[in-house]
Amino acid sequence: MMRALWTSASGLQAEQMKMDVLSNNLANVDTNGFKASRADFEDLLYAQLRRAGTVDQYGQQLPLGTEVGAGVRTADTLKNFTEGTINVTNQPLDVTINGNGFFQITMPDGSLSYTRDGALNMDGNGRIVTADGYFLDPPITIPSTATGVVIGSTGQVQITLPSGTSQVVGQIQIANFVNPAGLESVGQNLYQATDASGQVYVGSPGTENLGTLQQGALEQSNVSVVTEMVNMITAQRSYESDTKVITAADTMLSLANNMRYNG
Amino acid sequence: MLRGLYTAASGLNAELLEQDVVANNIANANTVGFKKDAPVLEAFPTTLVARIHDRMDMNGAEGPMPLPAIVAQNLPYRPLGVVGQGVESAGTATQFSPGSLSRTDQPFDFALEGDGLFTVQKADGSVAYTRAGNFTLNSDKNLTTVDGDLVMGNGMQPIRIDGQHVVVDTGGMVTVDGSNVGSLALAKYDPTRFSKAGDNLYLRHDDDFEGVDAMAKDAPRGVKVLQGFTEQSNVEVVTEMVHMISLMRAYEENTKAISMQDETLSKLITSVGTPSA
Repeated sequence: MMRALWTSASGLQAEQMKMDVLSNNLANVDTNGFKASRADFEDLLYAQLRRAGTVDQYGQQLPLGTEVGAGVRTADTLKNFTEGTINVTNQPLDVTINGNGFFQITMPDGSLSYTRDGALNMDGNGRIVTADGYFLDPPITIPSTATGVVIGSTGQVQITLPSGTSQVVGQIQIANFVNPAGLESVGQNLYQATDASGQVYVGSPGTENLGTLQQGALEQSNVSVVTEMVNMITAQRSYESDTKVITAADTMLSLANNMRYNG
Repeated sequence: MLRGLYTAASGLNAELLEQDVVANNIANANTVGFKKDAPVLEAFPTTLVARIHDRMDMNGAEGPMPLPAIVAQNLPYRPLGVVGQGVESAGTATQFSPGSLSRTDQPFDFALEGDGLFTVQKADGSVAYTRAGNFTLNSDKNLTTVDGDLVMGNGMQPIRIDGQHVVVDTGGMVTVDGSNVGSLALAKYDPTRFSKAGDNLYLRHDDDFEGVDAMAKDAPRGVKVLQGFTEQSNVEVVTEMVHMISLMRAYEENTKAISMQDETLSKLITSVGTPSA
């Protein structure tokens, strides 16, 4: 059968993938700390029917080769780690990382996950947890006697006691990676380290290349609705043109099947 | 059989190839750095036709004689004219016109202006070239393509990025936190020396090439690196659609030509010589 049919089918699949990725971006436009992904495409292998520079039967060197490509595939979905807009909430346990870094989260199985979502809460024992109830690592407990919590830009957690004195109860540590784009998204606003993300380094906010903390604010998603809409238009129109090519290839095959004279 | 059957069939084959190329262009309308291919068709060599039973000197009375022999013996002959034999593919020309630039503001997204290619090294050590500058870092902090091929700097060294502020100037020089860590090795695209290899890569296939290093020392003239942009595919869907319409109609005409010749043959075989009622 014609190559064109399969070539266009690969185009349809790639554009579908692009739609899947951008629809997830748009669905998460209001998700705290969400990072948009984009689908990057690559062309598939080429059939080298004739290579440029070879010599034909008349001794003439051919200036052009004949290469027919086999279509397209999705090479990766690259996460964009630019910062989202900051939304001031004035909630004492809403914390934003200004700059690089992730909060370290202990999962129920003891493994570590990472998140940019700083909408923190307290559980019944005063421990600081994420919205899903996972503990920060290292854990921090706010005593029930505290009347106020202050989180400094370097991650120091201070509480105010009824007597008016303040007391340091912990230090928030944040983590970063050589290649954050290599992190695996596992849902619940969490990421997990992979071989591609490289060595994790953990430190206090503001040290090395880590960002600083800002209390009373949340990082919104970095999804740009305009960009996603433009991507959706290009994906949809490219999908449409791929279907036109399939129709044309089908028509050509039909013509070939019907060219014999039935007389 | 009728010569025209094969002539029309050569047209069908050529148009199928064209359709394959157009389909690939359209499938890659959203591929970063993709360069469209244009199929190039050429006429088969034409044939000089002469009457072989009708040599002008019939004195020798040797009967039919092939035209090359007549020409070789310098005998006079009566040419009937030139007959075309159809069409064949002369190749596909990769069109290196620039694609539109899309601003991403990502530090590891690069676009090239001019006929340049980035140099990359694959896992097996072989060298390839790419126009797709959507790079990332691997776990060794080296700049790589999205497939993990190392992006080469001058001297065929990978570009190691260990720091926060990455600035790449238009000449390809990479500065990380104020210190120079190398320049992107750029090659100049040449249609006779590069062929597409898929995965957004091009391979060089000339043997007389004196080594990548020599080329990588300086950015080729007229090639500029733009950081924070990706180059979109240079496929224009309108052009491809018009091309597809014209090739499909040409295909249709060729099938009609075959039908008509088939009909002629059918008449010849079934009707000629049939006694009339």
